[in-house]
Amino acid sequence: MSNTQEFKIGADLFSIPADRFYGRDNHMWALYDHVTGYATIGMDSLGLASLGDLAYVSLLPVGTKVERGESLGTLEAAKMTGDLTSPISGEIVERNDLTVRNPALVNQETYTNGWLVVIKPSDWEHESKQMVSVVELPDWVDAELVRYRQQGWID
Amino acid sequence: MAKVTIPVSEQAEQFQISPDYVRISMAAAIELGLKPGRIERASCDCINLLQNYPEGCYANCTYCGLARERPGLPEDNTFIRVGWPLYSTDLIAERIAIREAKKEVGRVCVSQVQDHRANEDMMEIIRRVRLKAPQVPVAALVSATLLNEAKLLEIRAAGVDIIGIGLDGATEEIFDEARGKKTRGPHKWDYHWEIIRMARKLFGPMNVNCHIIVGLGETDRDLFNLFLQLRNEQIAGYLFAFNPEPGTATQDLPRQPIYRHRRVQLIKYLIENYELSPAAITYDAAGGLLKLDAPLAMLDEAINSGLPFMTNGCPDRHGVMACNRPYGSYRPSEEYRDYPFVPTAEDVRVIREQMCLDEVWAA
Repeated sequence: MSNTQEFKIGADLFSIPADRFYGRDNHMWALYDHVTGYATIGMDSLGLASLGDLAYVSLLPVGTKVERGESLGTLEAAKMTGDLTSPISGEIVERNDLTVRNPALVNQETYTNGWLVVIKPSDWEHESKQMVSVVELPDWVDAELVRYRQQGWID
Repeated sequence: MAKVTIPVSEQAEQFQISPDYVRISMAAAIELGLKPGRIERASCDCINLLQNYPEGCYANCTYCGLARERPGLPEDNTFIRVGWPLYSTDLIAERIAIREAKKEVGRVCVSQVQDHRANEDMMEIIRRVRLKAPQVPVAALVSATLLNEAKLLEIRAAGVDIIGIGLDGATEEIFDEARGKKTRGPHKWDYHWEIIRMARKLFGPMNVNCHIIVGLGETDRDLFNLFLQLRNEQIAGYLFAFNPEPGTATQDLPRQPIYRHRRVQLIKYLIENYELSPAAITYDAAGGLLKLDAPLAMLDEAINSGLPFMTNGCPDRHGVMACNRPYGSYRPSEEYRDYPFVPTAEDVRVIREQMCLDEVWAA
């Protein structure tokens, strides 16, 4: 299995790494660290491709408890706004203030320095099974590309 | 001494100048698929293009991100806050043609900056667009200071059907303070009006529009008198909401309260569409709106339509407003200043709350 699922939107090539889990509808990724038991959270490149360049990011403070599907912050792209929806439940233990100061980092270094928060999951075992795993990744990406195109969110 | 350098990523733009290259509004870039993204609750039906030169613009308007004497380098500056990405003119023309083949492009608008190359380059940009998309309506947003009758005739001969002119200031005094002699800028009030009227004569009624910024220090009386004058001369007035641009001379000037903007939008609409008489408006000593004497049925009809609060912009080939400039003078997270779509009943409810019309309406 490839380490990365690649796809094209127009002439641009995007990637979705296979080393993490993805929210089925919200395009947030979660990378679980088995040593610390914490999960780093970010937004994937398909979600970002549909939003465009981020202009503003706000994140809830460290110590906030969030439920899966609840907002962990907000985003503002050039021409739209939205919630950053948590793909898992737990407590925010760290947030990436670099992305608040420079939201372009989320677009430019999506899977590395563009992470948003670190969450101490309250039920990783159960909730990770509801996310998209490496096995489902190719079919999910294909289906999501169709859905996004039907919505007119990407070309 | 600190050395000012241009970021490597932007150095190329110093050499990518018009007419071979042109800036495009972010909304239009999204619409043409040149930039990823979505536009909340709206589409962008007018492809707005802006000339690009390393020096930015040689005018010096106090509120503009392209002003000559604005701190920072031209490439740091933004036009109406969101960056305008730069592409080759031919690529944009091709994308317009591709889009035309799928769905009509409402309009293309080519905007000049103040530069000695601007007239010749605008003609070339228009030529390249019309070569690829001969049916698309084209407007020219011109710098009056650069024009004369012969140049207006050339623009008309190139297929442009609408001329836009940034008057921006509602009175000569405001104009001089914001754009004219008090800014060491090149623009002159009287010459702007000469070109506006010349264009009106050449392009026909309502095919010339003046951009007017609400919030540069003008009074309500100044605005309403201007709207009446424009109506009488069959010149369109397009409102813009002042939005302070960081780094400009007016960066600390506050935005207008939303109630004022809503009332200005409403009264402009009543003047234009219901022939509201000047006698229906009473002012306080400072020229602010004190009382509006208009029938309730007229007000309800106008307000409930939502139309007074929409963006003022050029129409498409069917007469429907195309240039809606979504989120052009406010952030998408902020309250709408002008709606880039017909406001819904819920939007109208919000508008009524914002407008506080009971404070000035004389029943």
